[in-house]
Amino acid sequence: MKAISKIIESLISAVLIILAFSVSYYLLTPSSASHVRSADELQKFGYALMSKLSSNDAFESIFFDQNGNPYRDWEDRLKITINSLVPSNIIFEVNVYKSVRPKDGGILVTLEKVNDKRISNTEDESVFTYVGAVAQITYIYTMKNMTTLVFDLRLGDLGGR
Amino acid sequence: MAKKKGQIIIVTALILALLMLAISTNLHITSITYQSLYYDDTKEVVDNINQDLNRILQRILAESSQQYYKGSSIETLYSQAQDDLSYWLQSIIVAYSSKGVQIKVAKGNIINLDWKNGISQANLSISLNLAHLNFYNWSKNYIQYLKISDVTLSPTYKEIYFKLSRENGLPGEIFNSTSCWLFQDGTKIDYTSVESTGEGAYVIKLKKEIPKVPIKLYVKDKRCFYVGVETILATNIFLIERPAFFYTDFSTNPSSKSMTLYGISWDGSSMLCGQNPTGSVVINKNLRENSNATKLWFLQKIYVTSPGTFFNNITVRYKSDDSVVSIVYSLKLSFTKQGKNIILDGIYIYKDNRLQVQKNININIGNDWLTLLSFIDESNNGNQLNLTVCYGNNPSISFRDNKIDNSYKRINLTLSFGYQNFQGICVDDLIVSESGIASYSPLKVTFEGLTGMDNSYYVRINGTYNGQHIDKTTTFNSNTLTATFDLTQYPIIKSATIVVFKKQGNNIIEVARGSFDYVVAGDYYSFVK
Repeated sequence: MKAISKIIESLISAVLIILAFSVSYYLLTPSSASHVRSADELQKFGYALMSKLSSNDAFESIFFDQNGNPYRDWEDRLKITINSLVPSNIIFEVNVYKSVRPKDGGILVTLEKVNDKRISNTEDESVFTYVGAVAQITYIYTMKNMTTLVFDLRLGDLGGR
Repeated sequence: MAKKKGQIIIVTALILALLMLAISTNLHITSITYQSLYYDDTKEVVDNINQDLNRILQRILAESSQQYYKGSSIETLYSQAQDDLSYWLQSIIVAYSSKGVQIKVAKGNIINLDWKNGISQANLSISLNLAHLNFYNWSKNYIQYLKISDVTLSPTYKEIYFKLSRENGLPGEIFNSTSCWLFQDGTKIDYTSVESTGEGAYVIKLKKEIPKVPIKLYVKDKRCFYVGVETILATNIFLIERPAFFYTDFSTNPSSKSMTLYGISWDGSSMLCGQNPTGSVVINKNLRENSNATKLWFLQKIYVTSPGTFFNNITVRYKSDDSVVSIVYSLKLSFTKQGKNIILDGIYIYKDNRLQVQKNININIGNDWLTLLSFIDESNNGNQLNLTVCYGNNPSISFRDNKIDNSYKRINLTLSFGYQNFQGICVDDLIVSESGIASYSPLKVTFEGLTGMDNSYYVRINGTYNGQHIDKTTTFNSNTLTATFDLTQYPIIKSATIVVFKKQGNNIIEVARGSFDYVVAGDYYSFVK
């Protein structure tokens, strides 16, 4: 009887220690670290991407031809350009807004969405809710015609590089 | 007792487990807290605002300067620039409202189109807060700048040099080879090319030489900034044309017969050309640099003490095919007690430093100085004297045939002066000039393309003539852009200094200065910036 109670005590102690180890392991293991790092990198990547497009006047050539006339298919041109610059495991969606000068006595500018088509490399918008990391970037760019555009870029990391 | 022992084991295990859980939880919370700070995108947002602010300033300056070039008023452009900046600021605030953007900008005009001084500039200071990111008081001064300077006209009047610079001392870059515009009196001047000579320096090669300055120059750079300037006062001085000439520098004592002849080399230095105690000298020198001159000028100052005939023989030797041809010109003047009528083409006679305008003039013989100014006109010699030659760089190349290479052809001039009656004549101050200038005409200091100069500017020249100190000051003429000295008595001023200065109250502000071994009356000295 004495031996049995000792065994039971030992087992209870062992179970307690194992449980404590298990919980500690779960808490200390950076199971979400990959997501966190990925979101951070996506954010930086997004800004770097937009900065690159703005610094060499790529936006101008996407929106306008050499004579300054706007392209009708500028959404497709923007999509192709961004698609060529992002890795295959990254999905993106961008919306472009134009800052409109105040009218009729207004004092503040307003943002108007200018893209009629969806500019993305994924058909399913809901994919962004499933991916591990998502980054949202707001980027401003003033065109040569003095119009300020606001790019709302969303990036998602599908993982598995 | 055993029961108590078993409880101790369990309690110990329980304490250990709780301890481990506490430590783990603490570490986990610490980890989460650290990572949430790491997501902060302040740097990227500031970077984006920074880049786009530079961009909007570029756009504003490009648009404003272009409109200014097209004739818009500066007030309209100031207002438009403020509107554009206001629009941009609001756009930023709306776009980054989630970051709590607050931007303060310094008051005042953001653009400065000071084309009197060749400057187009946009300047703005901002202070930035991103309140929702706890980022405050980030400030920066932005500048976009294009300056055109050092606009000079070449001595040939067929090239214009200028320098383009941008902010931070960087060299400017023109948009393309057609993005320069030149105007003179409202008329566009055509050019063949614009070439970069490095470090922002450019040369515009004109189709035709331009007759005068000022000119207006406009340039567009790679960023589509326009800038203009009217050629303005220089700090450097150069000679438009230095004619070849020779001068005597011997005693003015009429009893002296010796003659030492000096020449002025092309760089302004003096050179000994010949010496002859009889008053006659032969020189054999390359004569000319300017291929457009048509006349050889001779200026002599003679002292007549008794009646007699004065000969002045001039021999010009030049190369024609393989042989050397000599042409002798003889100027002959006879003097009598009653005076002599002199009839010679191309001779001007000065007496008492005044030009005798009549062709037939009476010269009263006595102990008197006369100045003779004469010339040989090439056109009277059926172009025998082909003076379309240049002063070559290589001294070993001489007498090259015109048919082979006109650019290096030279002419040798031999001058000999003879006097029938040495007793009565002494020669001083011989000047031989190959350019079409009158050596006894006033010295003109011309100011090429000045702006901002008025009658408060003065020009001073000092130096020596025959040991006599010369110091003369004259006012600048803003209408003709010249300052003219009457140097009738001083055909050559040695060790000359020309200074341009301005009077401001009791202060004298020196604007430009040039030093020359010799300044020759009739020559043109140009101040160009």
